[in-house]
Amino acid sequence: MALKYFDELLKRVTSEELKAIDEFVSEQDPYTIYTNLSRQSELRRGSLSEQPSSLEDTYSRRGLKWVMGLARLEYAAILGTFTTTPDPFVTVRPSPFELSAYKSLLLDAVRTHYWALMRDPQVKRATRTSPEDSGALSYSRRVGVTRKMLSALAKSSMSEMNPQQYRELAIWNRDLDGLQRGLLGIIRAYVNAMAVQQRTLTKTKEEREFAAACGMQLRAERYELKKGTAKVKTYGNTPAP
Amino acid sequence: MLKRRRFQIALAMIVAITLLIGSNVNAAINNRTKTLIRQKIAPAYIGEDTETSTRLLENLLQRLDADEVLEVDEILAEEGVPGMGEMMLDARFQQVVARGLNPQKIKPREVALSMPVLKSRFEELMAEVQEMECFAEELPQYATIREYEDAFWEIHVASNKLQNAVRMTKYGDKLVNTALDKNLKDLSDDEIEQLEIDFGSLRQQLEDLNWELAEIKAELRINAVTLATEIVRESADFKERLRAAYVINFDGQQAVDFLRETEKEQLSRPLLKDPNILDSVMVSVNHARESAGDVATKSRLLYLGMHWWLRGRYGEGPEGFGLLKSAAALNSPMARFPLYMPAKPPKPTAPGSGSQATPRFDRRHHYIWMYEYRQFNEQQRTNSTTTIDKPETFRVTSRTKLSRFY
Repeated sequence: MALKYFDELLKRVTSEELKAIDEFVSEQDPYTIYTNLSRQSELRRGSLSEQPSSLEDTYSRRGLKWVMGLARLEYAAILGTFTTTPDPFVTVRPSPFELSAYKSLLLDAVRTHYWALMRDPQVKRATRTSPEDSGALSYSRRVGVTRKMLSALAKSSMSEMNPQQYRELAIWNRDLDGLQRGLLGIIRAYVNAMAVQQRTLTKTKEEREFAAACGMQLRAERYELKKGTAKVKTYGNTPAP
Repeated sequence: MLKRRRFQIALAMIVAITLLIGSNVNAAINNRTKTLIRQKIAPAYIGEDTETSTRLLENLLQRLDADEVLEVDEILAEEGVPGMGEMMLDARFQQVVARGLNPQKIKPREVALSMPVLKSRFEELMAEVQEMECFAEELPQYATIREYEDAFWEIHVASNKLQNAVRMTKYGDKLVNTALDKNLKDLSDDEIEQLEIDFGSLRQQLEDLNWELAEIKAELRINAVTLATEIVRESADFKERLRAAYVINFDGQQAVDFLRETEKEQLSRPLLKDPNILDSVMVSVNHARESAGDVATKSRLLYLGMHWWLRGRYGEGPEGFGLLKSAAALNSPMARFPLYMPAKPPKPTAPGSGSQATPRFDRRHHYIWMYEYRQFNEQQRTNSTTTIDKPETFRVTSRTKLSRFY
């Protein structure tokens, strides 16, 4: 809802007015956003880690572009987690005004999710244990939305990245792909087993609903993997500039 | 003879000592009770374990007279915690409202102890509200929109407190009426008198004060529109013109609606009682909107965007640990609106700063993926005490299936 009003506002204001509005929003504490949340999850700093803008940088950001960027990201994440909207992080169309903030928040999001997944000891277990007990379905959703974020980042930021950053992003992409295949494998095995059992055993409503949710996730992510959405070949093979 | 004399002396000493001990037990609380207060009751309260503190106080109260209650309150004050009446009042309210405790279970003596606390809270609140600047004999005339905004916020907070107090008077009524239906033989005359507090009269006073605030706010809004009109016509500062345009749009309309919906007989402020005031305000607001021009539209879009952004950032739903709205939101537009919002304008905390996180969810996308599938369960603990052998157990109290997320 907020974006609907902000987007309309951007169409109507002059650049001078936009500057005044940005100041107006900056002056109000509730609209402060902190970035680089991923530093709590990162196992080690890398080429994609956020750099402080100064020695005194507390990663506190203010202004309308940060406010819009965050709203856009959260909206896209809901679409990316629970729907089959293609390229949600691109489809939501961040405006040129907020684009730099949006990309910064998107990269921070990818770092957070990537490192949280890599450091979570339950994730590997989820690729080997029945989804009923391991949260494989939830993890698959998390990996799915992270891959979509990574894909959008690669498309929008390629020209700004150096070769080391390309390589790191490609490694992350490979890791997430592998993880998703493992999770989908265990989910597929479960769905197949349920289909066989259903012919001979009565399942509870909860079990049927869970199996249906697993089926939906399989179809959605298989489509993503097939389309190559997350496996962005361009940046993986781009020669050094 | 000497033996008989010694026996008589010994007997007299035994009787004297017994009488002395007996009188000490009745006259002041003993060391064991003091230890209980310092080492069990106060720490339980500080640790927010109100179940324990209430249970201990309830048991203790049965053995105390009025003087001893005062002594207990002194010791509690030394430990930095409220007195018995206040502790029990707040804990029981939580138990009745949040956990469905039957008020019948609260003993009359406890009700008699806590009702004066409730009454004095209402009186303190009314005194505090009447001390507000807007209650001065002459209504303040502010020079800036920001000052009007601060005044409106202060009135909004005060009005919420008064409305909550009105609801609490009904709670007080309920407890008192329940207590009066019981056997009161163990209560002193003073305690019985506490059960006769007239919450109906207090409720009327609170409602009247809240109404006065509403009238004051309406009149302040009319004054704010006058100032805002000057600003949109004359100021070169775009930020100030945005603020002013918002006041014209929002506060102007609120003032018009208030005057339109209120019978003249209900009003006491002379300006608002003027038979021409509604027409006059409507004309002012319309002229002001024309003066504001397209700034009015830009202001409306900005403020609406900021309002909805705040809801998205800080709002918590009733389910899914605050991440989700109620299941009814799937089918009802009305049910999509309610959210728990911070009582004061929030100030975000830096991650890892150690203080309580504001907002609670730094990024919603960090968490929403956790919902297994489009269904979630609300659970209730089924055992009240847990040990190594008996861990917490839960039962599912409701299950909500989502056919679409929002």
